[in-house]
Amino acid sequence: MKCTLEGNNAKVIAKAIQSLSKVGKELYIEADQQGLQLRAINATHSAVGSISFQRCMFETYNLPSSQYCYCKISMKVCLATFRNMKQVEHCEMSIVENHTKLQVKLRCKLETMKQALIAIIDDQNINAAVSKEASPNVIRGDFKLFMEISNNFNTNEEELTLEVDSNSLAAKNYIEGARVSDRFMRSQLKLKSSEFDQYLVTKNTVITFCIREFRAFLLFAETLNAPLNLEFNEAGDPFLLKINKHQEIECILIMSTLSPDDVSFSEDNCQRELTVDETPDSQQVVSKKRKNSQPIEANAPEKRRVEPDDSLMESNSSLSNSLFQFRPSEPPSVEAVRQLADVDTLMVIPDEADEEALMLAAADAAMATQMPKTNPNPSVPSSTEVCFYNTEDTTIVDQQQHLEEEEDDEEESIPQSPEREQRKIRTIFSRCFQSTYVPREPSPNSQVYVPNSDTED
Amino acid sequence: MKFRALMQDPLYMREFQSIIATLAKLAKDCLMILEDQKIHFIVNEEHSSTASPLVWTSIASQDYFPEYLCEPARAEHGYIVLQMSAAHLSRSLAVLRMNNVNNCKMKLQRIQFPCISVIASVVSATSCEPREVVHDVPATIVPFKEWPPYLVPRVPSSQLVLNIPSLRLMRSLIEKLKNISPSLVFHASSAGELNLVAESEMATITTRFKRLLQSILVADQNGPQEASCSVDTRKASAFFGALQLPNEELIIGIDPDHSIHLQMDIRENVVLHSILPAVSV
Repeated sequence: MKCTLEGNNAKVIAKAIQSLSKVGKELYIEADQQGLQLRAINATHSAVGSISFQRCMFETYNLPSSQYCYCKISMKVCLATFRNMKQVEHCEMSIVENHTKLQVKLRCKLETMKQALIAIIDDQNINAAVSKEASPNVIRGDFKLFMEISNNFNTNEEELTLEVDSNSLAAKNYIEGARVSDRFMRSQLKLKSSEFDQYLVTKNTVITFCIREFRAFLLFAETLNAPLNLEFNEAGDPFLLKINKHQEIECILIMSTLSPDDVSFSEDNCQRELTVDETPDSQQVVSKKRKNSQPIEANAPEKRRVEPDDSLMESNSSLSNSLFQFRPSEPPSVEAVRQLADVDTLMVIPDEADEEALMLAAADAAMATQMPKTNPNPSVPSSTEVCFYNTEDTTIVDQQQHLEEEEDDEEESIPQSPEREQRKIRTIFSRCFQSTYVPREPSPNSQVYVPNSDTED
Repeated sequence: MKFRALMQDPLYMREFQSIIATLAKLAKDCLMILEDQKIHFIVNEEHSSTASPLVWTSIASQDYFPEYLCEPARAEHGYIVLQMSAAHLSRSLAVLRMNNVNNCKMKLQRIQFPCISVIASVVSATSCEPREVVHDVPATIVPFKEWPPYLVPRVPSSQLVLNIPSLRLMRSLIEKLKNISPSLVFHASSAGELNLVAESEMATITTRFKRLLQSILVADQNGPQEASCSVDTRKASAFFGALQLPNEELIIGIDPDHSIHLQMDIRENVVLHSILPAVSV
């Protein structure tokens, strides 16, 4: 594959990569007859973003003779390559060295040439199958409007709930009736349907999805200055966000939504493992809760659900994510996102020991205090350890530190035993070992006030 | 127990927002005391040892709120005392900074837990339809028997009270003195002079404010007199740094070797107070 494009179009691609970098840690590139497609999937596999650029955006566009042309590269590297795009006048992308490297040549002002060789991690592609049939609810609005909605919520918010009926929309950071922590501030914004360009709601729906990926695409819509299209059916079904610009750039973000039976409502008092709408700052509390509910959960593993939008699940799944990878043998590995999430559960459940260890690890890392006491299972199965070292997650670093600390503690206990003997000596000649003791001076205890009455000699 | 208040004047709404923003900069939690005619907010109540000083503010309800209702659980108690996160409250009011707010309602509600609901009706620049922005700030109701530590502090009796006309000058000065000395001496005389003394091993820095007006209330004391008090520079700096209000005047009262009382009259019946306790040098 080899394609070249003009500087301004390269800037758009750079912006697209920036947006996708907020979704996932890897970038999937696919080139086909229609054009170039960039994709990313988030750590919990709850959202897939895809941005496609039509051929007309490129100056030249050559496909290899074999039709297959896709690859996976590291997002971090790609982001660094496309960082400073101000000076770029021309860009060339090609796959070289027997399909192992992606070469990016950026020609900048003053005849400067920047060249980057990005290693291709895998010949792998993701493919999200979306049904073409029209969704019952379609909302279109200017990006500014959605920007205002998104700005109404805290930046560390995890998920957004939309409540739609035929003439109004309410954006909330909580689910009506769901159990929330009592330190959690609930916010909502109510809008009239007339504020949107198109508002077609045939089915009253309450739908919850992750806001972070939504914001990432909102950012891209801002650079394109294009309206956003939201299409959704009902809770549990995929939520689609589409951005189109002059038929040249097509973006689609597919997000899984929270199924209504995944929500623990405040009415039922049973201690369930996952709660929704926890503020991130109350994670400590939550992790404790998690620990408490551990035995229950172990007894009834079929109760486990994957709740991709949940903040906790996210950290958890990001750990477990490293355990199973996409197989290159089956390129269209993501079907409907929700289904894939279910597949995850199935994969996790049989391996219960690992799962439990992971959960303990997550809980412990979050508590981050008095590790030796709270860790109920110091001999973590080796498989999880491998996972810790592989992933670059802060919680894992914590965990690692804890493990090291533990080792340190063990080492310290060994030299302590000879010290005890020393202490025994000290108790006998304690005065001699004090820093105030001066051997020349007689100590007050040994001062002779009256000589012995009878001497031996 | 009922509380409901409505704000309509954009000027008052913005002012209210900046008062709460000031408090949010000083502490995590704030105390809201609702009274028949007044609302008080307190942060860092007395005897709590933090780096920021005790600050409280009293707002007379009849100016700010065209509609105001406060019914305590028992009429004889006369107060509703709530504790809540200052940051949440400040965030919920952030929308009032914009010009296009029609009105803002606050009410005490129970939705799973007690909370103050802040309901603002906003007209956006991009559309003509009013939107409703609702934030439910979770609050803890402080029961009657736990009130004593949370009562509105008394204004200390100061020996000498001076008006400072330019707050901006003093704010930047104290910000710089923070790096020089941990304690700062306020030395005032009835001739209208205020000296700020910061001492380090290498230098002594004295800043002299002259021709300050003495407050009328205390001015009738006999003969010229002086007062001085040494306070923690960090606390003073925290107070001046947190101020989000446009007011430029400050009243400073000195109770020798006991405390310094700072008072800002935001407008009639809307006052912000702070007490900086004395430290021994």
